[in-house]
Amino acid sequence: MSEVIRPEILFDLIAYHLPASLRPHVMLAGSLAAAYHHRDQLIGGVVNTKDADVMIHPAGAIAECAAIAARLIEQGWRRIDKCYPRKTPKPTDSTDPDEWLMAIRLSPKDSDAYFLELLAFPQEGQQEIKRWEPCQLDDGWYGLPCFRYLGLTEFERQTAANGIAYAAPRMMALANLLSHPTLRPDVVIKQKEEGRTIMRAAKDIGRVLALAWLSDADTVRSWADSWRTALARRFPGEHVELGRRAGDGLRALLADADALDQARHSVVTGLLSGHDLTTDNLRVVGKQLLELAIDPLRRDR
Amino acid sequence: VSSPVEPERARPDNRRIYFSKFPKRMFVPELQGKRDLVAALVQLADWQREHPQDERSLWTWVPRMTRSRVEQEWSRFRHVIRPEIAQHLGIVALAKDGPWVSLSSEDPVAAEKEARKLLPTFKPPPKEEPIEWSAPTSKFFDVWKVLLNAWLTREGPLTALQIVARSGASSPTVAAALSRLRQREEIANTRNQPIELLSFPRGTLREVLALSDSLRRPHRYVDASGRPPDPQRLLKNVLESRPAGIYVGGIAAARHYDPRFDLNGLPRLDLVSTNVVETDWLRKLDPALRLTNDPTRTPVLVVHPIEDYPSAAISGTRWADPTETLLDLHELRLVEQAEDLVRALRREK
Repeated sequence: MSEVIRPEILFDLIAYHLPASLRPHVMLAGSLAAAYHHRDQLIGGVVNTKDADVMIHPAGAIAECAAIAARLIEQGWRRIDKCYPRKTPKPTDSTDPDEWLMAIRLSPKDSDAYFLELLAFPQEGQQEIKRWEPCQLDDGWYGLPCFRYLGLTEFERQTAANGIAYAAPRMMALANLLSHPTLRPDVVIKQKEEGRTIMRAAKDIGRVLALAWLSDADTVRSWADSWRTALARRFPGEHVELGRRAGDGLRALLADADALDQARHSVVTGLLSGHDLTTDNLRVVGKQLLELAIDPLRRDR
Repeated sequence: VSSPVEPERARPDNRRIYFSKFPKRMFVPELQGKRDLVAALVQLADWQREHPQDERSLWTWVPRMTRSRVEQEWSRFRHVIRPEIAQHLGIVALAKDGPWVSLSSEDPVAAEKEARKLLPTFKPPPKEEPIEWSAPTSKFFDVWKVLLNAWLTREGPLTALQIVARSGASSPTVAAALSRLRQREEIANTRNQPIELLSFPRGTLREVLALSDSLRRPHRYVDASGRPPDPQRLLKNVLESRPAGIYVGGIAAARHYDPRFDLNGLPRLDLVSTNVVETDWLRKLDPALRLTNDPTRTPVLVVHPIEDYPSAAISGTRWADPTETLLDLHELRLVEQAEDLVRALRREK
């Protein structure tokens, strides 16, 4: 069950629990990073998450990821319930290969306040939006999710007061936008949110809308230049095309009342808990985001 | 027939009568038509503004109007004045085809009976001088603003030609407006002389404020994203981007004109726009802004469209003129601060 907690406390706990030698190799991403960045705007200053997505640097360092996981386990970190090994890196039955390996999710030795989920940093050549990298630990095989567009988070990295690095919200927003060019109603969050089935795309693009909402219009306007630079450096050769279609999923979401309501449900039970936002509010934010940050990329040649 | 009560104060300058027995009623024994009715309603609204918590009602005889016409004018009037004033106003009118009573608190039959008993007994006080009472028109408003601005900026008297040029009104319209202001003794009773206000025109200001929405036609915008309103950010953007035909008014302009202006924060941004059709600048300012007619929603931005704006001719200015700024403050009900601004502007240099 999730609990509310101040994101800066979670950051401090992570900094305290992580061995000092590992800290330079990790960068927090996802909802916790976003909550920390916007901590002053959270209702009550708290966030409803225990999930700390941790990206391991450098890119493609699967062996280093395994070594980091092994070291944490050696120091007493515990696998959470949904983290168990497979005997082989590929399915031995009809299981979907993408469902076969479990992500490495570890709680610190003496706290249940959060768990780390290890993500591998994608290599520049990765084409799949999401790839599972097999990772062998002492007791068997696990998986390291590797998201192509999260590679954008290497740009404009932020550093918390305690020295922990975290992804810039604007780069997480772009990664989420590019990861969902369509809504794909068949891809849903496994765990229902308050009894409601939520499309993965609705949740992730909803997160983008939440990040835009938490930023003012001037900040959102500045995203276009940041995105242009990051796309050109991370994806030279296809950056213009990526920029042109960055808003496809968002447009689809805005045109689908049910999907937009799923996005609303997801953000008001998560990052924007207590803000009492309506779908009309989110639609306005979406249009604002399109106009200020996404459409300028669309006009690039 | 003797009057049941004696008039407590009957003003010679108009036909209103107040009685201590009915402290919240304004009696006007006879109104000739629509124009008289509207003028009386303006005075009623003006009176209510002095006692914002009280109900006020107009009791009158309108022998040349029908009940439906009275109701129509009443409804129209209520739509152009501020809702917080309108909700406290009422009318009991004896029209030519019967009574019309707006007051929900009054029994219509009893109200009619009382009106028929009281109104004929009231004799209008003798008129020392016939004065035309009518609601200020938009053209009168334009002329008056030109004179007020000249007075606030200590510019000195203006010629009639200057007033025509600055207000965009025709010569006959300006002449009629000046005649009205002479009758009100807000300008000197002279002819063929340069013109200026004799003092701060409080009487006309009150009338103008009662009809502020219809005269100024403010466009109110809210941030439809649901974010906390941030007028300060909008102000910064407007000052930096300087969209064509847009001038900053309200509290920001008051601070520009009077650095000691006594108010913290910026509850909303007021702008004057000579760009009455083009709204591209607004979308660039923030695409989340949406026009609202809902009086319960607090706007983050209010735009006052103006077609003829002489102040815009002042090269390089970003600020609305002192008159628009003053009217903005009154719209915000910052009456004390508005008075301070007048004093600061008129202070001897």
